[in-house]
Amino acid sequence: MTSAPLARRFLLLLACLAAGIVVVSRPLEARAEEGATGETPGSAQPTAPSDSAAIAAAMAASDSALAEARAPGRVARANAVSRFEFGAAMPEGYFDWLATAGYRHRLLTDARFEHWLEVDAMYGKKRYLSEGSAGVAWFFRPLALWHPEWRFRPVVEAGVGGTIVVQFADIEGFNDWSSHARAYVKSHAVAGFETELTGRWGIAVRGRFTVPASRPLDYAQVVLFLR
Amino acid sequence: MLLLACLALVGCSSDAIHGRQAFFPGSRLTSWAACDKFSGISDNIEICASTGLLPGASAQTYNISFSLPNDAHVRIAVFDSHAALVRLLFDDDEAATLPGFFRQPPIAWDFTDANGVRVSPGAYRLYFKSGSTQSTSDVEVP
Repeated sequence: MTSAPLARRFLLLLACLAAGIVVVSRPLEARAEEGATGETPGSAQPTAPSDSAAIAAAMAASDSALAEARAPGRVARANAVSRFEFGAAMPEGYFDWLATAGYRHRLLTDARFEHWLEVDAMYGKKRYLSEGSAGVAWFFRPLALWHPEWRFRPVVEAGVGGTIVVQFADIEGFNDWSSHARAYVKSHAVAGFETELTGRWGIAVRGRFTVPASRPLDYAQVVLFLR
Repeated sequence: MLLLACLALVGCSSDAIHGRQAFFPGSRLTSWAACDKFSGISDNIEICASTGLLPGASAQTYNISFSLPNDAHVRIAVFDSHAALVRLLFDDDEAATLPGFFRQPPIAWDFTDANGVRVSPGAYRLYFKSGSTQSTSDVEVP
């Protein structure tokens, strides 16, 4: 490798780090938490809510009732903290399909993003070759693009993850097999849609892209998710 | 976390996750020795091989021979670095060889696949199996 691409890669790394530090160090906007009581330690006498607080509470209740009337329970279900996913994927590469299982957990929500932790496992087989993989990824979902009140909700996420892939080869015609494992760290962008099927089950269709790999499309996936 | 994300964006994403991985050459790199006319005196199967020009041939081949103490079924095949079967070279019943001698003529691999197309340069692994005997040899095709 020549020095120019190395220098360019180093500069890109520095720029990425600098941009990340700026983003992380910006103070987050305070977000009101549901169920906050506002009590202070040591206050023996409960105080009556002020008029403005009562009006705000009534408006919030009205909004909530309206949203519930439009889409009963949908918002609450869409904002569930965690869910399991079972599905199939058509990956870029040698394999035609992969069976997938995953668990997603919302770690936190800040002023701009929901932060999701995803743990997934995949299995595929084609001719003599079998593959199993396990991965952990951290995804950022922009709140501006997330609409839990919609029946068909677009899902746009980006993140970084590590994956361990183990492949097993059957040596055809001989009493032998061979195995090989590799570990990857990759950045991902995910785009797709999801919708509810029942109160607990839903379906999601999405594509996961790897940036900036030479073969960037990782897979197109359809999953049933269970809350 | 930030450093990890930046590394992932910058340099650790060079190939497809679900592509075929390279199996050969693996940690147990093996190679069959060249044939020695007087080394085949044994109760065990012995295999020998070398790259060379067979009489009457116009190009070099990888020539595999073996001694068999008893009549047996023999299977020899070539696999590429992804452990995929490239070509089945021999799959037949074979008579026992005379003590001290290897099979003549040897089984020759002309570096072509099952369709007769010359394989690309790289690492390949040959498998030999007869009864309970199984052996491998790694070959670098130029």
